Amino acid sequence: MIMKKILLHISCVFTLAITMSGCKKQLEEYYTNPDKTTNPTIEKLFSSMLDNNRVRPTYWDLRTLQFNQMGKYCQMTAFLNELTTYSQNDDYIQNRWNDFYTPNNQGNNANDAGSGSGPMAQYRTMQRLFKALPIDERPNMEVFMMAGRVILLDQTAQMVDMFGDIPYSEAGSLDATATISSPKFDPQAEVYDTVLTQLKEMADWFAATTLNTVATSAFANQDYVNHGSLSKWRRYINSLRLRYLMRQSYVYEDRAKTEIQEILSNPLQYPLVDGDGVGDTYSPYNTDVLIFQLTNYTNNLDNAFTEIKAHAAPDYMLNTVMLPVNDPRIPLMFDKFGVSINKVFTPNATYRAMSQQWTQVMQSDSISYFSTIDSTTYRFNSHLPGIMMTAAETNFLKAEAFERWGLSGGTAAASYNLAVRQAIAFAYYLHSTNTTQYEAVTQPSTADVDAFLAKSAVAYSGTSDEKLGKIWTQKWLAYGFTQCGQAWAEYRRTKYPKITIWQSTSSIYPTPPTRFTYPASEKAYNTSYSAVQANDTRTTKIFWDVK
Amino acid sequence: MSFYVRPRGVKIPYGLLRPLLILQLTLGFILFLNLHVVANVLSSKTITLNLRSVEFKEVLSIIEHQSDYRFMFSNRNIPNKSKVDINVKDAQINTVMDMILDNSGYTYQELANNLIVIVPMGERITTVKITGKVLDQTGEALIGASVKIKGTSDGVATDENGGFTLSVPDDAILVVSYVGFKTQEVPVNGKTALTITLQPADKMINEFVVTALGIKREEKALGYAVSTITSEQINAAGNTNFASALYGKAAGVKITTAPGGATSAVNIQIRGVNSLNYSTQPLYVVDGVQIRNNNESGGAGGNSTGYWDDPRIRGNGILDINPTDIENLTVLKGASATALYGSDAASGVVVITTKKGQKGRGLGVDVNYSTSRETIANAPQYQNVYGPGYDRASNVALGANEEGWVPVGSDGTVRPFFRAYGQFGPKMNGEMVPWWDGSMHPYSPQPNNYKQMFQKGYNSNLNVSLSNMNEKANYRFSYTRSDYKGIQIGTKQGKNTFNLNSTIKLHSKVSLDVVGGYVNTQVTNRARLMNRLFSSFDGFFSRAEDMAVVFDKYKTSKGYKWVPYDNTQLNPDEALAFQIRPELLNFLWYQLRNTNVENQDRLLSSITLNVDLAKGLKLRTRVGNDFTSINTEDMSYNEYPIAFNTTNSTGSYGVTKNRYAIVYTDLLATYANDQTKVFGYSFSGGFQSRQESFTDQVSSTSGGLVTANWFSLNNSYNAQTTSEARSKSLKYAFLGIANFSYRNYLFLEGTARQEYTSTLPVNSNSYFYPSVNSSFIFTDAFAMPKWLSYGKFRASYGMVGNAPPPYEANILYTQKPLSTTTGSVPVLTAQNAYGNANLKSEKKTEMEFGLETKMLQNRIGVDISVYNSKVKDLLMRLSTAASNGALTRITNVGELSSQGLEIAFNANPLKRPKTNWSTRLNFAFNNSKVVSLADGVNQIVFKGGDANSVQIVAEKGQTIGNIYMYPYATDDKGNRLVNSSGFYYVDKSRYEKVGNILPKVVGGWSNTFSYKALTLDITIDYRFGGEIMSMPQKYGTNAGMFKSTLKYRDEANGGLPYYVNEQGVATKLASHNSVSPYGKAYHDGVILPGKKESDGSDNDVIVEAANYYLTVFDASSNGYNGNAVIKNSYIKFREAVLSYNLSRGTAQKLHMQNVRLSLIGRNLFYLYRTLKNIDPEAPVGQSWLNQGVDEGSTGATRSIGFSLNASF
Repeated sequence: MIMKKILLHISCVFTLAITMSGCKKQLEEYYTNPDKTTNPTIEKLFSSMLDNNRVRPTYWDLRTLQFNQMGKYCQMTAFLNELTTYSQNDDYIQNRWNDFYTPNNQGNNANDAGSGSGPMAQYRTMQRLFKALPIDERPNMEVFMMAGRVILLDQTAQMVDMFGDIPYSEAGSLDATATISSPKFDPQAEVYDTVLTQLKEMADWFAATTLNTVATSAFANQDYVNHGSLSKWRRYINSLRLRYLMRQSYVYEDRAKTEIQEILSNPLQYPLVDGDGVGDTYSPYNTDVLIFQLTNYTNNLDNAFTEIKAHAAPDYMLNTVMLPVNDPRIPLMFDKFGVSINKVFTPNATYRAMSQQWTQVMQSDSISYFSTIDSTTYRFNSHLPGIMMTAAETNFLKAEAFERWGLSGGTAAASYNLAVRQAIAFAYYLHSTNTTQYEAVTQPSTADVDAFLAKSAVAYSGTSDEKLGKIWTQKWLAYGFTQCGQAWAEYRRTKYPKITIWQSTSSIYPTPPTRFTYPASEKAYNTSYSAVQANDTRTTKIFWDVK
Repeated sequence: MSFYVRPRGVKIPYGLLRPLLILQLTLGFILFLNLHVVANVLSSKTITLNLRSVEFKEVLSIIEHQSDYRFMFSNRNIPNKSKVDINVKDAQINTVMDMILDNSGYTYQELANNLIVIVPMGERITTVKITGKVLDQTGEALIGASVKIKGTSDGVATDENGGFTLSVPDDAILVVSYVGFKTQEVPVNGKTALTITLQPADKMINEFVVTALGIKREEKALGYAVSTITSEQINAAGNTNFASALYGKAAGVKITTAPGGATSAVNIQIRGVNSLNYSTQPLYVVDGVQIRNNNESGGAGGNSTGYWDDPRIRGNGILDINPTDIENLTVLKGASATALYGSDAASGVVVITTKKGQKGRGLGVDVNYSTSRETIANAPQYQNVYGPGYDRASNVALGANEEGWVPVGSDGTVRPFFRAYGQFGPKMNGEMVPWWDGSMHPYSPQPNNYKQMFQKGYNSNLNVSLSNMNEKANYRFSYTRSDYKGIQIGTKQGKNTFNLNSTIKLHSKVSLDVVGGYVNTQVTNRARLMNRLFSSFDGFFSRAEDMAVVFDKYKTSKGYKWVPYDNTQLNPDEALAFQIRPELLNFLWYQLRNTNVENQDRLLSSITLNVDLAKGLKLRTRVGNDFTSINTEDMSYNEYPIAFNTTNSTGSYGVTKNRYAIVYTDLLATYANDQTKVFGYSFSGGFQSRQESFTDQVSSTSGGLVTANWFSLNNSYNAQTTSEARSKSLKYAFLGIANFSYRNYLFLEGTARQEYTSTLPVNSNSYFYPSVNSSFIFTDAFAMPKWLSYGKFRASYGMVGNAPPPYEANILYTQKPLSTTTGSVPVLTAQNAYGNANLKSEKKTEMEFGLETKMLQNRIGVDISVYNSKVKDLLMRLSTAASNGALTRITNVGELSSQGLEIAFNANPLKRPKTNWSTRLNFAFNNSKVVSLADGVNQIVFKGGDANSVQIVAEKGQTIGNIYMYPYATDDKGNRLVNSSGFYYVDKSRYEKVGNILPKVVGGWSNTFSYKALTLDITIDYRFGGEIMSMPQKYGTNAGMFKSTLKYRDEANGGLPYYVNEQGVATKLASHNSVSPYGKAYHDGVILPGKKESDGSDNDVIVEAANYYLTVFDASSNGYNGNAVIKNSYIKFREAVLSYNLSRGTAQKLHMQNVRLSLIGRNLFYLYRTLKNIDPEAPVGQSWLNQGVDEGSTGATRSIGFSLNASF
């Protein structure tokens, strides 16, 4: 009997062995991660490009980059005057760099999502797939390629504004051809040229195209920014052109002048995100290019502000720009705040920012006695949209163009006044996005805005330089705390607003940098770095920074 | 007269019925076996022979086969008459003997025990009846010892009193043996009473070694180096895990224990670097089954990616193997030794055999108890003179006075600059000052505040085992309870381990081994990395920090988090008075208030079936399982009352469930001929498979807890979140082994493994791993001088591999839905860790030669191995420039070559009956070089600090793990340059090699001294050569934390006297007593020796000492990293154990068989070390790389305690 059992056991094992040897199939099955796909499609990659928490205001980007570095350098945000205040935090810069080239938004939790959408990697993958697509299917996907390129170009220009020369033309080789190259650093002016040239191509393509039904439907579904509206894409593209043409206008003034004139004189061919000319009552929701927070996002920016004391109202902005002219945006952008005296919370009497020139100890001891960033609009708002383009910015750009070159198609004063009105309306719009209103603030009335615009410090008057100064200062203010990158770039280009830089006693970083130095990984792993190493200092200027 | 032993065939005990087996097996294979044995009748006294012309010896042999009779005969006097003819049926022995000895000139005599002695005619045989006793060295009777007559298998076993009686020829020699004792030969010489004392067997001679696949092989037949460690060696010092007990005991095996105590991983690195990425830990095989070593983190091992990915110090799977259950452990080092494990074995294999029921004891009960007290072992060498503050200019710029005092109010009261991370402030003189908690507190140095961050821990282990053995079965069952409290605040662990190891004899030819282990562990607040305290400007507690205040203030009286000075409305009574650096309070909050509890259940089981199919043919099959389930609850308490909630709350609750399973099977059929023949051979064929699966589910609250401190997913402020990760892999292989031996002194083995793995792309998922090894016992083959008692030469060659973890090679896209304001939108995202469709397995080939000798009657032994290995197609998750579109890509990056030498030396210088000293010393040298790198890869940067201003790299033609950094700027002649401010600065245009993270030599020295019943064991281990990279050391220097940074700060420390003139230029004073012509005189000047950058002249700029540290060692790529790269050599007094064995007599009075009492000390102190401010074993993480990097871990422990071992 026992022997029989043994025989049975042995035969079982042999059966196992033989079935196992026939199990090559299982090897294949286990090879691929069951939770991910091997078959990407263009339209979904495109949508993921838009899912960018460097555009949507979220904790990581604002805490580590916008408030902590870029905002500091142009005093868009307040900060404690520490020894190492102006030292670049390499890890955070590395993150920003990575987020352009490779996606970091795979996570599923809207409150804890990664920071960037890696437009370069995503777009290169789309290009690879598009090439492999049968000719007859390409028309269905072409619009995604075009819109995707617009997103890439916008982000590319922003990268140049931070770093200067960047790998662009040869970048993304892993996604394109599955190879590792050492992509060369394209000269910054050339990258800008590519951005501007291709944006014009995009403007013309979107103007000329009619989508087939498949593309129309798919684009409307997947484009959750402009909801498939070709008109809105055209406006966005032309406004971007305006922004980046103007950015390089002190170097290549002729190009800026010529192309901007072409845009401004052909509003039908080159429409803009301009709020349709409406001022106080324009609707940012309808006309501006905004990306909204996901509906399952419930976080807010409070920690991003408070962790680095950036919740303090910025000195120059509140004390110098806004208070003297009783800016109607003050209650929208700031809270008075207050202190606990004898265990009783005592609100501060007035809006006031503490001096950015004080010592760290004075700042930290006094911080509670001064105003803070508004709780409803900014700190506790889970619905703060990401700003891709506003009417106010477009009109400020137009004002500058008219003022500098006297182009046809409008006047500087009209554009400036419209821009200021739109900026005030936009501030209220941001305030109104919060479903919880911690204090009731009504929209500034037209009369208030009129009065504000009549104040000599705001009114469009004075010499041409004074006027430009007003345009730039108001534009800086209009960018608000969530567009520190644009504000810093314009500050470097125009040297406005006229802030006073606090000097650190550090002999290495006494003042803010003029650019970010390249992150460690690019230096270590990209052999092309040697070509740009000589200019890789914190005081090298971006090519458009010549004023 | 001496007796000659006739060579005999297979030794089969007398009286045993030889069964007739005819087995027929079909199923793919048909094993057809026909064993026929001469049928025998029950009687063993009668003989039937029908032989013609057969040699005399042959006849005797046939008789022995048929009957119980055994023969002895005189060496020189074998009957020469050539052939015998005989034909008898059921004849008596006398008849037969008379017939065959007829006219031969010989006669015989029948003794008791069926022994027949043949002698030449006329010689007389005297037989004596011996009454004897067998004792052990302590004089206790040995029960069941075997007493045999040399040349026969005839003999008896001793009775319960150790006694025996035996009739033998008066000149016979008795062979006395007993398990665990040296076999002794005793000439009878006519004596009738004998007392034989056996000496314990020498531990150094391990006759059998468990090798790959659990195959037992004779030590001398092995053609490769192995290290065998016994149960006693593992358990002597009461280590909580077996790996910590291996320090310094095995040549070429480097042990490192992550700090944090019993809950932290222990890493074993065998023969240097074998793979660049992933865990370079050996494969662990327990009772033949491959077990899980990694914790949750899969292939990379725990703590491989730094603080931000996982702030807690993880354990590893081997911590669950209870050391007291281990019988012995073999470390298989080279590729030839491990080739049968193929792609699991590139980093070596540790084969563990657990204890079984023991022979001859009856029901045995063993109790082991050990306990020890753990304390913080070492503290950094901090300065205790200056408190917080910076240089004078910064102090003033930041709101303090020049000295670093911060004014409070306007009455002249001052307080320390609590916010300053620098320690260049005022001297601490004990004055009462306003403190950050709101009280008045003396401003005095706190030299012990580092040690005060830790608590006193303990460790207690109770192990009880029951064992028994009889003819049908043997078993051992054990239960272990261990309790642990770590030195890091908040850390504790409780563990229950059940183990059963049994063998059941189903039939004389069939046995079943059943092994089962269940481990239940609960870890609370596993030790946390102190990275934030040592590597952050918000950390660095000052030299004036009083830990009593910190421990008082980290939470409020209501149990909420400490209240910052600028958010006082949360709790005005308990809010802090001033701004501080928060990380220390946060650390206490995390470890003391928040709770993280891991509950782990692990089940290890295996069933092995052994079948003797036929003579020489054996079959073994095994199914094993290692299953782990972990449930981790993470409870973070609300940080402030919910009344202050705005859009979310604080606190959180999360629960993580991990499930990990290995199913292992193997099958091995072996045919061996008679191994005592001149040519011995055996062949095996088999199959092995392993399937692993892993799932990980995390659910947690989002946005905080609605009701304060109610820990439930239902208490989530926002919708709770859940995520899942899973993986599966399969590996299987066909195996073949061939062994040959010649005259038992020349051995050759060849193995082959054809492996298939699911983690590689389909076109490259199958590999062939061969090996061959040979050993030659030249002392057996040739006549050797007497002093050389044993000599063996070995040579081997083998190939193993290393496959990547599951899904590494995949090129995939993540899909997720986006909840946009206009509905759900599906999106796809590329990975920033890129795959590779052309990935291949790593292939390691290794050649090894060795020499093993024993001299002067085994008093001295030397074992030397040299090896040379090459790893081709090195697998690496290569970091790429992000501009390529991904951060990393899995790649076959190149080839690595390692050379090494291992020397083990043992000696027994003192060997007297009552005193004994044995000593064991080993060294291992290893050097791993990068032979080549893939196209387009010039250099691999593994790790960088401060924007890669210091980095660990691999480059072609160089030793792996070199450290490079920006050097100080120098002129052509090598003089350091100083800039216009008077400081050294780094030259960012080039890198300079400043070290290597790998040690040059590792090893250990153990000694055992014994005097009567006292034994002292001492283990020392050491490491020489190589550096550690520690950014916290640079930051600590920058901040002026260390004693070394006192230099230049005042007159006593070499500071120069100077004043600052009207132009603001520091001007040297003649002496410290000189009166300053303008303003104050300062005494902290330093002129850095070097040349001015501007004109090359000698530097004469006086700078303030504080500025020197704050500027030159700036915590960025602008700072010099020299202080972050430190030589790491040490000699550590690792273990000392003093034991006392109760005499057998005394023990028996206590109704015990054996009692041992020991005082134990572990990790006692360093005899020598080059690292002053961190522990040499500070690194965490299991790869070779992490072992060379410190990122701020936790304190090292020292344990002192006792243990008691008793058997009943």
